[in-house]
Amino acid sequence: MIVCVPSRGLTVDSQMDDRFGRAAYFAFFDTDTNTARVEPNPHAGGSGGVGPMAVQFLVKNNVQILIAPRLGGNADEALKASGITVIMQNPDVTVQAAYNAWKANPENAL
Amino acid sequence: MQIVIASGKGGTGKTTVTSNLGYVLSQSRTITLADCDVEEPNLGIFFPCVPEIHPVHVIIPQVNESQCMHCGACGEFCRFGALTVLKDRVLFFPQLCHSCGGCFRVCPHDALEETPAYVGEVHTCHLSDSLTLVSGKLKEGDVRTTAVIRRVREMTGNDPLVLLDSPPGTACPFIETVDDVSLCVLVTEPTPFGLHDLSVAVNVLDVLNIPAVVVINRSEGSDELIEEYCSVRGIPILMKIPLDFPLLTAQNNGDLISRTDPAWFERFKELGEKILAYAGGVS
Amino acid sequence: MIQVAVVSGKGGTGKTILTASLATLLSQDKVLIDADVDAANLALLLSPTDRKTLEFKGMDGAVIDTESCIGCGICAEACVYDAIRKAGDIYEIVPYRCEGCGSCTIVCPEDAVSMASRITGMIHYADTPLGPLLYGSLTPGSGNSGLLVHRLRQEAGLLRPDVPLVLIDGPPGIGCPLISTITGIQIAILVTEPSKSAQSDLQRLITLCRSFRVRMFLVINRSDVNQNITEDILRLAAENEIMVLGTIPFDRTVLNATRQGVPVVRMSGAASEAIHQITQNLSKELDQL
Repeated sequence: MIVCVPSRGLTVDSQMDDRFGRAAYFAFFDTDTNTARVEPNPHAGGSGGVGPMAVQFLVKNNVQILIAPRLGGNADEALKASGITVIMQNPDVTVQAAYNAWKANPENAL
Repeated sequence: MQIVIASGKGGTGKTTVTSNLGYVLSQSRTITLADCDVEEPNLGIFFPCVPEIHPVHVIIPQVNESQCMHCGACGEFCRFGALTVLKDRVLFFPQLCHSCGGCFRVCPHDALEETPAYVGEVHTCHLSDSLTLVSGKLKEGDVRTTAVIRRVREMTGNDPLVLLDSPPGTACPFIETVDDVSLCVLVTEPTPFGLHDLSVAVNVLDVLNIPAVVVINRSEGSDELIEEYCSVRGIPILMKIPLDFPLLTAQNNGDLISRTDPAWFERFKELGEKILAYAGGVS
Repeated sequence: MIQVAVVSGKGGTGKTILTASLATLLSQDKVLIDADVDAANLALLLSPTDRKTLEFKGMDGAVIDTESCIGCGICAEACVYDAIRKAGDIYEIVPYRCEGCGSCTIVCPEDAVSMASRITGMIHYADTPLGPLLYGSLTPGSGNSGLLVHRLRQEAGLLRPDVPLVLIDGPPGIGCPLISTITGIQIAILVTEPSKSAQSDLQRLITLCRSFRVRMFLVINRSDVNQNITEDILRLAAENEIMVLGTIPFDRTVLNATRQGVPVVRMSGAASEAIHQITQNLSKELDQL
């Protein structure tokens, strides 16, 4: 399955982004193939509705788990409807560290 | 002819001026008052009546899930984020929708149905043979202020003489009210806030190419702040309305001072004639 | 973090003047936001030192390539905002009417319309003796006030994520910018005055704040100018279970202080005294949160 972590930078060693809708990048970890890729958030610079747009981007990328900092109301609503599981994580860690923390304790879902 | 009474800053006396001008001018000509402050309409307080109510609707999409293939085209198109396409359904956020109609165009499967959404109403009152009041009122909690203003303007667009009471501010609602009118009368107060907001409003009117004149309200004789600014910008000051407690009391109570006080009737008559003369000159 | 917004419904009731005084007297560490981006006046009372400005980009705007445009007018018909007008043989976008929806780009048979980012305002960061101040300004002719307010609040959160108090000077009205101001706040201080207009506006604001589940407090400014309406408003507050923080009498020192660019409570007078009392009452409530 695909696990998503918002990222401030281009690599998994970048700091986790403390925003969701306007996150600079999204990191996608594939638990089946043990690979990761980081993509720019196409709607990062958007002025409105970026939360739902980001959810749509995650749906397109088949994300099942989102490791997130804080979420706006519209993003929250869209995520609940999408079936993506949200795990809250303090964003002062690297993207890789956030993923590792989840992997060590995957039952710790919200 | 359409003339807007605006200010930039709230509370400077737009409605006081519009209501009294409307009353006074209607004694000698046919005039329509349009309340475009649809978020907080107050003109009606001075002209109680039983209105005709016209609901205002905008078009929003409703997803027909049996036709929808979840292709994602509408979600990709909508720049407001109002449509989110999931694996098995489409989410619609009405508070983000701007009713542009684009989603209906991009859907390849005819899965979006045009549906009316109520956003507010317009109240019309025929107060006399020469005075009509048209007031917009936005539904509390809705954000489509400009849609209701547009309807007010559509309903008054063909009337011979219209005085529009503008909302405060200098962005979309103000712009929707003032676009394409003959003249904007800016009511200001001789204070630092009044001056600052006047200058913002004037800059917007410049972009829209609408001529402006100024009325100083609550003047106590020391209006240099405003006078200097208007002089530099070449904006005529048509009148200085003095700070007057009987005026404030009457208006605060919902009464028109020009109805009960002949001196004020004359003052507003003079202001009205000056405004019409100026508007006639610049059109 | 507690977020408190000073709002009114009707313009000109004294929000900015009260906000500046509250900011002066409340002892908590705070960030100040002027959310009245159409007409930002709070800075005029706080002696700010501007630190930096950030461009604010609202919605992208449509642009017509004059060389490709064949003057068919299909875009103008499709535009529900009347933002496309004829200009000689071709068509042009009226930027201050364009909402950035992009419908024109999909109907143009010649692919002559595209969307481009546009700077619709600025976010200003300033230091004041009372704490950091964030305020916005709009490019003349631009909209998106609500979005700019939203950004100001986000930037404040990023600037000082642990600050105990965010104090927001709100815009008039009950539309987009006001809704962006009160979303997610804990407390709204409603400032009104004894006039029928203000009373009517207050009722609509109360209805809105209620639906956002914001705890409301009331201040009546210039209360002695009309005792009857003041009583009506006090009754309205009681019916709605809104605690009245206090009333402020009409006082000329308010204008003097504003002209000198200082908060009212830095001078002495009846209004200053009343605001001191109001702040004490507010403080007690804030301490209990």
